Amino acid sequence: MKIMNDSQLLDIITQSTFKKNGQLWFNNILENEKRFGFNNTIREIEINHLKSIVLAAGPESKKNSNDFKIINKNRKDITIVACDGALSTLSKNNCVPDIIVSVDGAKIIADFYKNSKEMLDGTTVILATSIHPDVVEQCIEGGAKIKWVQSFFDCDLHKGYFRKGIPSIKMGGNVGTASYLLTSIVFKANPIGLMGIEFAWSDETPYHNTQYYDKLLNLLDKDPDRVKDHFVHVKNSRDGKTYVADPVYYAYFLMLKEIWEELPLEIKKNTHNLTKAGILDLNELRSINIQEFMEM
Amino acid sequence: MEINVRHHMKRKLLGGNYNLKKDPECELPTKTKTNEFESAALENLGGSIAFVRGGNLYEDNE
Repeated sequence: MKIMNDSQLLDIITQSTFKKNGQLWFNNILENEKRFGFNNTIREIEINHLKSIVLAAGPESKKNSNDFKIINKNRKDITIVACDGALSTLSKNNCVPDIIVSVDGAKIIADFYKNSKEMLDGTTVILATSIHPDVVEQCIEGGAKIKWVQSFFDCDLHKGYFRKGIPSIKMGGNVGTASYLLTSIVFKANPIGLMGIEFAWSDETPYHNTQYYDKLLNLLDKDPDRVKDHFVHVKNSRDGKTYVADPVYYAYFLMLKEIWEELPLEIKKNTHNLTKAGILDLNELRSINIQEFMEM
Repeated sequence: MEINVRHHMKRKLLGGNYNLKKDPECELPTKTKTNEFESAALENLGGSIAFVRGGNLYEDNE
């Protein structure tokens, strides 16, 4: 009997993601190229403050508005790089980010922008070339400054997807990882605080409220018990609580873990996890609270 | 290739590893289903953001 290990799980998610989305990405690239052009890229971005927070939309951190009181108090001294999914939380807390990142090719991503138009005027938005054209439209309507990036590198495998002249960055399958790599490698921010990168839900969360539950249910003969068996439970040493991740979210965590091992030591030293919740646990990643980060 | 990822819910995967053999609290089932999860997952899982292993982290492409 052979058991699936981390590496096999990563390979499966890699294959399934490309198989499921390759055509969508390709269509999006062609349409974006034709309608909007890829004129401005992330190469033009300069951040005003090296001290930066990468803000993702982790389910637990959304519940903590106290952190935003501290962020807003120190807003002028930091750069905020926000994942698109965090826009509603930012909006609720009257906090406009410096940069918003969108790399997901699905049409539904346009809703994040549609529902948070007030955050866009003059704000820099980083879009993957494979983003859905509706997202680009929303950004243009809102007055955002679009800067392009691509998730494909100059190689035989991605020949049709790659565009010369546009910087490529590894995305890691999720916008949180992509935002962190942009902030650390491209903008060279220092120090960097990670907020809301959790890759999991509290174990009090009903399984059916998690993102991939319905997909898992479909592929496992509509048997809820079998779906439950595929959720990974991880005990968090920072808060003593247990968190659950479906195989996809767990693969996102594993991918960041794999990327983390490739990062220069200097970047790792400058990175701090500001969120206690979740399963983000990496060698040498220090955990501090938002106040401690602001005092650095 | 036989893949079996079914397991008991009592597991607590500390330190992050999907390989149940490494988990001391995990109970492995006696029943094995060949390729069941893998083949289904290949068709149905995955998000809509590029997820590629290996290679470079960044290229300027100037």
